[in-house]
Amino acid sequence: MLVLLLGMVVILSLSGSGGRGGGLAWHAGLAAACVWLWQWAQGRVGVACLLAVAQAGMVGLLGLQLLYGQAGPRERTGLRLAGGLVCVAVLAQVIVPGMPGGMTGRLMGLAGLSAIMCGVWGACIARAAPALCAGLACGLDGVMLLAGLADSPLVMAETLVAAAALNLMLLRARRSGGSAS
Amino acid sequence: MMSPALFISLVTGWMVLAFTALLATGGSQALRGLLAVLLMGLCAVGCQPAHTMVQALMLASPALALCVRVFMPETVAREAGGMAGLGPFLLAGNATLALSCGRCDLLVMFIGLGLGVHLALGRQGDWTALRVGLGGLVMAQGGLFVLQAGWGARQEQAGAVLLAGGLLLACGVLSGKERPAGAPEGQMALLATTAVLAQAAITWPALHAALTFLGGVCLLWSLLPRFRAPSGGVDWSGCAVLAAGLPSATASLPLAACLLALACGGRAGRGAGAPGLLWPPFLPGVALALLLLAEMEATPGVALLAGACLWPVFTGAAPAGTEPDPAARARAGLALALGCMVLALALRGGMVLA
Repeated sequence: MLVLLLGMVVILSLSGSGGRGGGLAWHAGLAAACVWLWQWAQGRVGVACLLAVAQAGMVGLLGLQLLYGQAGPRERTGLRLAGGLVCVAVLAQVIVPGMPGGMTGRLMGLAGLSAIMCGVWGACIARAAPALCAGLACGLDGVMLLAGLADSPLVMAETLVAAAALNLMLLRARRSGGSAS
Repeated sequence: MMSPALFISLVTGWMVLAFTALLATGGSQALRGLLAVLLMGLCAVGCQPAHTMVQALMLASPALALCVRVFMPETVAREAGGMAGLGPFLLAGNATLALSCGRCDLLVMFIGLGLGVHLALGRQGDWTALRVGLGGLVMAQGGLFVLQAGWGARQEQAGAVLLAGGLLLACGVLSGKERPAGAPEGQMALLATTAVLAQAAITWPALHAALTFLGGVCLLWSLLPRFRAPSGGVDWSGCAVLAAGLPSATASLPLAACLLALACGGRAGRGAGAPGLLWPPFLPGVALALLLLAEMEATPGVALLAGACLWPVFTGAAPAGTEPDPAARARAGLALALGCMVLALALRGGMVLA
């Protein structure tokens, strides 16, 4: 039940995290908590939880970097619109019965998928580099959720590496931009 | 006899060897040629006993693309300086590894590695490549999870669309901006992606419809006037995607022919631009004929649409290619030899449609 509620909060927090640092870190923490609770409910607390916490740290670091940049109103409106649409889609899915896999797993999968779609959509319409990184990190969080659901440490490690690479790229771009101006 | 594990470790060893050798010596032309031929030989030896001939041709296509890239003189001048010459070697090794593993999750990892290589060695701060590549990979991974979870028929269709669309997006097929002609990363990734997707379509049949639709969209997309203005050739990416979407009984030979044509001519199709190249037994002609025949058997409507899409390309290609340079001539010879081989395969193994 807690996972259910947390998944719902993850979905709702999508509409708020429009390219600003704080929203992104909040979203990452929620996703990590969701993975941890899911594993705990299954009775397997292991390396996946560590990976999820590490991912939350990475994305949180990215969010700290993003505090220095600003997202335009264009990106924020796009994310809000996508978040609203996804909420409607999720509600429709939950109402329609007859899907195997269990309510919790379904909702967690849908939360991951909606994070992916919103992140990629936000990255596609973003113009500035920080907003692009924010969208991609949101998508990576979704992949992390789904990997926690499917219990595959390989994919979790991949998302960790990708988030670290995003951090590096943004740091480098910020440094070069700072020295240029 | 060579087991897949041995082949994979050999290719990894080749990648390490190429990296250190190119870094140590600065990458002279002779060394680059030697390394490319070495990978070609490795593919020829490694895949022969385990697979059929058609799969061997598919497996050898990244090495062939690397050879074409190394030996054609117009790319050498561009890549002479610095670290940029390293990229194609690492990408070709990556694509060969992904093909020999043949699993979608590993394919995502290898394309991600290729993207990292491009961002680290190529142009730094290429935000467009990051947006298209990483976004596509994230989408593909999500679709793959949906497919693996096995939630039901409709969810499987959604997962197939996400997986195919994300992977093609990561290859740069449907991106809005045309990349510079002969950019290696998209071509190598596409070579690996179509083969692995055709393999995955056996497990998840919903991929067939998604791939056929996306292939048709790619063909229509390549008809936009701004994309075919400079070269006038056939954009082989659409044809390869269309071939990957065929039913698995007939898909292998047209797919192999399309992949070989893609490896020879490149995305822009500059080698295939000369009008004489489009007739059999040249490889592009063989690939087109095989693809249209197999597609006509599977879904006649799509075949008619594809044929109609190709017509403006043919009419536009006629006045081009008046003065062939040595590179185009060499590429034509290669296409001729490969086309004869594919024709011989088709004749020996019965026809595609048999």
